Amino acid sequence: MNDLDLVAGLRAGLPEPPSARLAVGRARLTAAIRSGNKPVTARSRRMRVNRTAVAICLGAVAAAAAAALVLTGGPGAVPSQHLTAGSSRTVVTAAWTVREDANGTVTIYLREYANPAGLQQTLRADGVNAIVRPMPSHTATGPRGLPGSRKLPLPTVTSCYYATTNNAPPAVQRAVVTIVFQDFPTGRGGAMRVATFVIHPHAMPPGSALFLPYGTHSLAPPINGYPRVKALWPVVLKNNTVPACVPVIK
Amino acid sequence: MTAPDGETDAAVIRRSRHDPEAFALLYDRHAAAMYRYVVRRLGDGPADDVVAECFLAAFTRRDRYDFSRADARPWLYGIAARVIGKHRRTEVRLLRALARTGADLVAEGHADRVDSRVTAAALQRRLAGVLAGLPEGDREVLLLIAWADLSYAEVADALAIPVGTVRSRLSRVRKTIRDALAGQDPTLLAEELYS
Repeated sequence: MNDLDLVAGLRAGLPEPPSARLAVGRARLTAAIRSGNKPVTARSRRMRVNRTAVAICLGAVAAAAAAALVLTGGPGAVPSQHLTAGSSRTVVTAAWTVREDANGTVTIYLREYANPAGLQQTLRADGVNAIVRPMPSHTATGPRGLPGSRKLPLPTVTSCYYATTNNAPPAVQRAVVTIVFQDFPTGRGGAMRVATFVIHPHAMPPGSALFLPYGTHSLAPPINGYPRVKALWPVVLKNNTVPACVPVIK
Repeated sequence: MTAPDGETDAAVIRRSRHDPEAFALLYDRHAAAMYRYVVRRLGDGPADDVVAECFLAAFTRRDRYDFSRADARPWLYGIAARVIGKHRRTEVRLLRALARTGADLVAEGHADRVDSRVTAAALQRRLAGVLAGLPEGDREVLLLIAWADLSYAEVADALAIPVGTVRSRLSRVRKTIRDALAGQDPTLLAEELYS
C-alpha cells in the first residue's frame, strides 16, 4: 500500500447517504428550479418535516449497525458457528468473522491468526477468490542460540515486502477493497478500534485474486486475552500468482 | 456518465436547457457520491447545504457546459471545489482535531462510539495533520484523486489547470506525506488495536 492508498483509506468507512436524505436534496433542487433558481433553504416547514424523516431513517441505520456489531461478536469469545441472519450470511470463528451481505459485499474481521485455510475457503465460498497467507510479524529470527552468537544483534522480521508487478491497477484496488474502522468494547469499560476489510467481489476482474497476508503481532500485548493481529491491506492480484515475501528486517 | 438508456450527462444538461427539471436526473446520478465526498471533507453538518449549492450552481451555469464532455463529474466536482473552499476553515479544523486528539468528528456522526478514550490509529492522526497543513490547491488535487476517484485529466478539467500542474502538485503532496510518515510502516494498518 502506498501513501495514496493511505489517504484513500482515511474516512473511507463513511456510509452512503440514506435515500431519504437524497430525496430531500432532490426536492430542494427541483423546488429551486421551479422557483426560478432561488435557493430553497432547509428552514421551511416542508424541510423540517423531511428532516424528521431523515432522522428516523438514520435511526434505523444505527440500529442495523448495532445488530451487525452483535452478530460479529466483537472481540469476545465466540464459539465456532455458521449463522444465517436476515439477508446476510455470517461465518464466525474464534479467530475471524466473515459476513456476506445481500448486496454481495463481504466483510472480514480478523481477531487472531488461526485457521487461515478455513478463512480462505470461506471467502472463496462467498465468491472472493482469496489467497490467505501468513505474514511474519515481529518474528525473531537469526543467530540466537547458535554458538558464538551472543554478541551479534538479533534481527527481527517485521513484515514482508511484496513486489507489486502482479497487482491490479489502483482503481481496481480502490473499487474492491475498503477499510472500515469499528469500535468494540473490551470489557471493564475499555474499547478498541478495529479495522475491518470490506470486499466488493463484483468489482474483481475475471481471473484476479485477493491476496490477504496477516499474522499475529507477537510483541504487542493481547487485548482481552486476544493476541493482536497485524495485517496488510488486502491486495487485488491480476491472477493467482502470489508475489514472494521478501522479509523486512529491522 | 452514460445511463442505461444511453443518454450521457452532456445530453441531459443539453436537454435541461429546454426542460429545466430534466436537470434533476444529473442529481440522481451523482448526488450520492457527491454527498459522501462532501461529508468526508466537511463533516455531516454542512453537507446538505453544500451539495444543494453545488447542484444549483451547476444548474445556473449549464449553458456554459462543454458539451464535448460526456461525463459531468469533473465539472460538478470543480464546482464542489469552489463551494467547499468557502468552508476551508471547517475542513482544516476537523483535520487538526483528528491529528491532535485522535477523535474524528466526521466519522463520529456515523458510528456508535463505544468509549471516548478510543483513539484513531497513529498513522491516521499524522496523516490528518499533513492534510490540514497542505496548501488548499494541493489538498484539492489530492482529495479529488484519492476520494472522488477522478483521473489526472479529470482533475485538470475540474480545477481548470494543466494536467502537468496536477502531476506536479500530486508529486509534491505525496513526497510531503511520505516524509511526514517516515518511521512508520504504512503497509501495516490493522495491527494496532487501541485500548
